[in-house]
Amino acid sequence: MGVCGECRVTVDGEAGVLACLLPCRDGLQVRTRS
Amino acid sequence: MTSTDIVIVGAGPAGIAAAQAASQAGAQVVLVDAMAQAGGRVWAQGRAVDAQVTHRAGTRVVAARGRELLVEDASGAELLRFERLILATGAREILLPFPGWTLPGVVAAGGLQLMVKSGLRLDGRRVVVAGTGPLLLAAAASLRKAGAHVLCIAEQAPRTRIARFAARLVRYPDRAVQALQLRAALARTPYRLGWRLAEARHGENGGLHVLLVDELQRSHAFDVDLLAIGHSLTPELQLASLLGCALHSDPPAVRTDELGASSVSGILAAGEAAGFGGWRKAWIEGRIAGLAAAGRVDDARALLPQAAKERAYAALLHETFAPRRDESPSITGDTLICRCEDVPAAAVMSCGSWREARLQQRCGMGHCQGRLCGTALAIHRGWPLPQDTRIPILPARAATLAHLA
Repeated sequence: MGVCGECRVTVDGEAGVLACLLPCRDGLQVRTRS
Repeated sequence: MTSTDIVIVGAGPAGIAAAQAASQAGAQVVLVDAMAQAGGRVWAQGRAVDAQVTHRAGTRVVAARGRELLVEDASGAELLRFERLILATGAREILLPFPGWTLPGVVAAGGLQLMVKSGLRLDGRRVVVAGTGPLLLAAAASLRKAGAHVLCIAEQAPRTRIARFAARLVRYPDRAVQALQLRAALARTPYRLGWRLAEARHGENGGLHVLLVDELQRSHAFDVDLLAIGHSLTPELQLASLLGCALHSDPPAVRTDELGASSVSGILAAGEAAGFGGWRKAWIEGRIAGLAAAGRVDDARALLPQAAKERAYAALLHETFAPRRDESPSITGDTLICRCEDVPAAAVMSCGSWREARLQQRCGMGHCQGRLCGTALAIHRGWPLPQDTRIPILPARAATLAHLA
């Protein structure tokens, strides 16, 4: 977790967020491709 | 800039124990951790931290110089100044490459276990768990509890070594009991010894076709939905290396004295960073380092007999489960070694050193900075783990790096 960076996504417009370190919450806009 | 007596990096068992011990001894303590809650990977449900400790969750250390750490969180970045630093940076899973290891459905056993602990259900899903180490059994038990149908647990260490390990486990009754409980929970799940991963291919209905090879070179095939792999753990040493702490290479660890002091004055290491060995070792080493850093050396010394026992157990784990080349999965020329930069084995095998593999093939130059391929190449090529760490040690925002200017 937090190591390989294979799970990078864009969350609420911020690119390069590691999904494995970010807790889910209602309303998150997650995009897997930019 | 903020200045603190003791900064601790990592809020797993070692970091929490160190924070508690140092804070109760009267020191001002900041505990920095990348996860949203304290507990590390082993206590994924979260653990409480003493109220006197400043817990900086969701904060990553991206660089260091002298007595300062550059940390970044969702809202920004700052330099943290410390009088003493305790490295409790924990360990990561070793995932060894084999043909097909990058296919969807091949997952880290410990990672999958964490997802299950956070509520993922796997009802009716067929899973093979393969690799080496006691984590395989713990992961398999968690997956079964989440509804998975675990077809097989494949341990690559040979039967003779596992038998020797089991015989010596009687010196550690709590662990022997735990092992028996795990076996009981997995009573109908085959536990194969001396079996290693050979290949994963796309299977039917979006699943995987997995081949394993036993000690007599016979193949065993499984059709699964998920293949969970893990080849023991290795410490996170980038920050220690960046700060100039002397390291051991086999097994990888920060070089410390018995109280956790590294070769750099004022910097200590505890838990997995001081050598892979599990949460009990981490907890006691964390307490010792926390007390020592707060100046309570006699209290720290009083805990050394307990630490010695845990360190002996860690040595036993290493002797039994550290992946060895002739027992590890075979690779072919087109097996990807560096999955960040898509570098196949053939391109790396002709290189004479890490440096050459980086400069000529971009191996280890991607997002993970060699955290995955470094261990694979330590095993397949005998190259020491990369220790020429440079900043930033983790990808960071440009605005964060501007703090170093």
